[in-house]
Amino acid sequence: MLKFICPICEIETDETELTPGGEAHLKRMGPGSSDQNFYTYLFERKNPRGIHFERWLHSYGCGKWFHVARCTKTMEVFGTYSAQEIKPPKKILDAIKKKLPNGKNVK
Amino acid sequence: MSDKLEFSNNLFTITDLYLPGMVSIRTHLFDKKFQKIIKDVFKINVPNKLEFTSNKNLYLAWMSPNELLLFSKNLNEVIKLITIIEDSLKGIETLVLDVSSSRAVFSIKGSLWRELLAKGTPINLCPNKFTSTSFRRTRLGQVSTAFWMVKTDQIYIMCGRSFKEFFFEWLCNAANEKSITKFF
Ligand SMILES: [Zn+2]
Repeated sequence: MLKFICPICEIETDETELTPGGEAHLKRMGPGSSDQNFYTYLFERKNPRGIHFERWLHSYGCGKWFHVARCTKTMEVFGTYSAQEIKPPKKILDAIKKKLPNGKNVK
Repeated sequence: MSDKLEFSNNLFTITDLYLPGMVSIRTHLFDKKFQKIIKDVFKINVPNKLEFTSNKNLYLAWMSPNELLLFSKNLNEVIKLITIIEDSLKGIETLVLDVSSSRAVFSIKGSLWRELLAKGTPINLCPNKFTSTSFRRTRLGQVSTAFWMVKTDQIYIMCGRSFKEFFFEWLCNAANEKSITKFF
């Protein structure tokens, strides 16, 4: 069972109260983009075995979206952060870095 | 409109608060001007996150960072209040909506209500975590719900109007005397 702290409610919520929203930090390819870019934006999602950034919706609670950084292999959660962030904040990246062998950087 | 639903056994009395009144107020909750108006008009403070405040039979609950729910058992009282809210909040960007018919509310009376709810919700119901000022939106079984304490041995619990009968049956089932644990 995954458990995240909703950054809005600041309370622990579990998977059963949440709705997954898939990969985070996507760049929208709207009108004017090439067909290939639009296709990639619409259908192709990263699904790594390892560190992953995702969007989750606190659907049974406050009804707001937020971001999660977690490892899909170990199910470890590195932290949650606001849906308004366009990239993972330093605090989260540091938490991940600590867990990686040789302090490797997260891409 | 459906019938008024009622259930009781040696431990619990579950009553349908038939036709309660509810108003959804959407605005920037931390706005000082808004908070002052709410306090002046209803003699209630704007509640903190995950909490509610009350004045006699009127409850004001935190639904999300931009939504409050004003609740009363008396539908007519709430309908009267809508005009007052709209008038007093003029000039502040708000959305005030009567949502009374979109939800059903039940009262569960019985000192073991924590044991009953713990069967269906993932949230922590320990007396020091879910207190007399707590208001939680969560799930009970598969139904999205919200509940709060009105007395130490009584709670109000709401669900979507379309789940009313299903939800009531769920509660009655969970209230079975022989199945109640003693965790809290
Ligand atoms: Zn939340």
